Amino acid sequence: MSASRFGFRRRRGNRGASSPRLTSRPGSRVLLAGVVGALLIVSGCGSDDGGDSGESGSEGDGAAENTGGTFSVGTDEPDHLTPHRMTGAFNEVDALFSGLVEFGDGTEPKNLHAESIESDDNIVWTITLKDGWTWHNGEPVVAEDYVDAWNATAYGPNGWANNAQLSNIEGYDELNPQDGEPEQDTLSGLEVIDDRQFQVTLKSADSQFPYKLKLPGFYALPAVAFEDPDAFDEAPIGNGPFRMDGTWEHDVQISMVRYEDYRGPQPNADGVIFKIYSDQETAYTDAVAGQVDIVSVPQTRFQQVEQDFGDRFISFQAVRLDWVGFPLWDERFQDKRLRQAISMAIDRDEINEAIFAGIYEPATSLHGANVGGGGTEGLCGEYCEFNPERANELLAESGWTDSTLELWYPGGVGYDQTFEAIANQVRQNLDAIDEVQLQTQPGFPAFIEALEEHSATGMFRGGWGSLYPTMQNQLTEVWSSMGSGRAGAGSYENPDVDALIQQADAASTLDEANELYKQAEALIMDDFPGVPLFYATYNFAHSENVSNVIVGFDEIELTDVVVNS
Amino acid sequence: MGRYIVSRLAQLVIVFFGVTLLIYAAVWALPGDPIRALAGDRPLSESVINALRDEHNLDDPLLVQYLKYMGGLLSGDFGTDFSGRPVWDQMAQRWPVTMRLALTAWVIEAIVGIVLGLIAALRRGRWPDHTILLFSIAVISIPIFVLAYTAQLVLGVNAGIFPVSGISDGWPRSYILPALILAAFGTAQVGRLVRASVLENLRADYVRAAVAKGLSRRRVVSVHVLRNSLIAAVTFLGIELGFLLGGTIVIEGVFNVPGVGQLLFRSLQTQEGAVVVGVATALVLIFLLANLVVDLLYGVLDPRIRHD
Repeated sequence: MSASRFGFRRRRGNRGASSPRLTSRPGSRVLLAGVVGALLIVSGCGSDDGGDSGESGSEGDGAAENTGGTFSVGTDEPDHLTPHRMTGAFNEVDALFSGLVEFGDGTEPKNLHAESIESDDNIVWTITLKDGWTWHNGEPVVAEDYVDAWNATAYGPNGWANNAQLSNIEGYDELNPQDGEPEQDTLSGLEVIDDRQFQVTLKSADSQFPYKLKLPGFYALPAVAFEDPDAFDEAPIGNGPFRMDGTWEHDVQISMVRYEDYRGPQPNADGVIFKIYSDQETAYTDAVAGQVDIVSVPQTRFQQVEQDFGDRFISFQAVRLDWVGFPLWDERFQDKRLRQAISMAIDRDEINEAIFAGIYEPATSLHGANVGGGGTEGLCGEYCEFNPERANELLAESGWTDSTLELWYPGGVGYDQTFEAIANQVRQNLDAIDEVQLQTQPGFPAFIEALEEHSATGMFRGGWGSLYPTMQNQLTEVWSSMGSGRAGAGSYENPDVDALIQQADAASTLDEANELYKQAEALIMDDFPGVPLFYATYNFAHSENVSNVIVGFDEIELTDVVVNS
Repeated sequence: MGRYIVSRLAQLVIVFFGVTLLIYAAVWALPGDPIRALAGDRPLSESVINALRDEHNLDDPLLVQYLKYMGGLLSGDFGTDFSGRPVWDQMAQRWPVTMRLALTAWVIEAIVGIVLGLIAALRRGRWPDHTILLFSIAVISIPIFVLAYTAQLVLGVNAGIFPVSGISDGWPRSYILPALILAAFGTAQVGRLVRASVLENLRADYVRAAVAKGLSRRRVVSVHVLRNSLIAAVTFLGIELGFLLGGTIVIEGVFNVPGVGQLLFRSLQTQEGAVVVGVATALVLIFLLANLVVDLLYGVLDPRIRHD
């Protein structure tokens, strides 16, 4: 009896451990994901009316454009509210700020504040802004506000988290020298033409640049932001559909009201309150009780979410992949048949049902269907199918002699259950393997260090969420030798893959680019450096107080939400 | 008495330096680079990592880091977390919340515990005693988070008597449910302690003398028995205050109470040294001060105990 009680305690402890900050820091928003765009389509018609009609008072009787009311969204404590500095507060930032483009639930960038984004050669880009947009303090939003913000972000010593997003702009390297202080503080690749137009020169051609403009590092900031960035962060003055109502009440809430002079699609609601939770399970419970309107659904609640919320549960396939990586620096893992054997020993459907309640989608490539160019489903072929017999054959051919394997993952941040299950399946389905040792690392920092310093001695957990829906991001950052996240791919590299990605970046049309990205991915899947597991999803649930909740690549479409009267 | 207090306070100073160094070293020894992990799978650029490491002195040797931290501390600067928020601001915001929660729980423990213990002792072997025993055993044996989730579901979500989470309704409404759960274990303990010592004292010679003298039962119990029976309970309650303040982590998580427990837990996970040391040191000091107060209270309750 006491043993079972203890077991229960431990499980709960782990849940506590998967609490917000940590999961959120490692990009968990992207992590908490699930499938089935079908639910979405049902509610997929937002009011996209132009923004000129927002003059009606806060009474909220302004017909379709303004249905009034205030709703709440459960969230983690953000690290920052300034777009260029934050790593997890996407909904909050998109309420306060509007970038040049947006995605909604489509995979193409739609101009938001940009009137046009043009280039002849994918290197020099001319961006024209829409007229009449103002900051929440009434000042006009001008081209210089973009240039200044990008310069500040790209200036290394500022230590703004989204610095790397600007790395392909001409002059970035001068602002981020290997040693010492930079001698300049502006990017040579940025040039203001007039109040509504500026020009960006890239280091190398990038056909996907318009997609990247959705990254938070590419937003604008008003002049006041640079006077005291830390004070600004407490109550940012943005150009988005909502403005701050008071200041950020840390660990309690962030309150916002509609910005009447907003020139984009006016929000339906009069205000939104972001309620801050330290534990997303508590946020979920609060949503069940109707105390908070929209929450992201933690993985531990997947099994009950249909029952609790029915059609008020929304799942959207993100450009996110979970995989098992290998220490390719270790000669024991050189034979790809070993890696394929492990892949075929994993029953993805069973894990999906047992742990994710079928919400994820078992991966058959690196990109699911919901990405620019339609994705690459099926590219993995038979190697992503569950087939223990073939797996044992491959293992025998690979020359693997050891009877144990290791599986490395960060403990206590939400991966434990999944990777325990994977370890079990590999052990059970591969006859020559007697044991799969779980090398649980004490948290994310230790895990990342083990990969970066090549001290991991076995297969490991991999994951990547792209912040914009094209294949470029994951392919470049994870699977190319230029990537910043290549540690998660076991430092895989193949010059042919690199070349194809570069050709795609330079392609003159998006179709051509997508075709080349697919070829690059085919090469990667042929080398089989990692075992694709799941295409993950963004998962949100909402109370009966709100309707027309749409989830897309920008997470919640806050301006579409209607507060039921 | 005065000398005793001074020497105890002097001990506090030594403990303060020892503990801060120890905790600092412990956080420092955690594997991995916290800055590198700030953005998870998506790494920060080298220049940003360097800028942040520099800002937080992470490239210095342990002792230098510690001395810089202590230097700041002595001039009133508690440092900042990795997103640049001053630790002092966070503590100033969260300590009152945790204090309110812990003190509410503590008062519940003291009052309810002593009353139940007294009733159980005076009605020994009859139904009130049995009922209280049953209650105590149940509460002591059920893990706190089970109690917490159950109470949250039944009283918060289903019945709607208390808010499910958060402190937006203020004290007392938002604090009662979490405080009750937090106090449950201690209440049962206090009850058992008081019951045992009341029973013991009821058989003592001085009680027999008081009864023989013709004092009313009420006076015998409330003045003579109870006062002498409180020593054990006071010891427990003194230490318990420290436990309550440090032990709110689970409750703060479940009920989303923004107190120091949450902060400590989160900071440990993200290896925010300055935050962990600040909060943990404050906890240690409170614990030691509570102990000192308990020792002094002994003298008040029982004049035979003196601190010379």
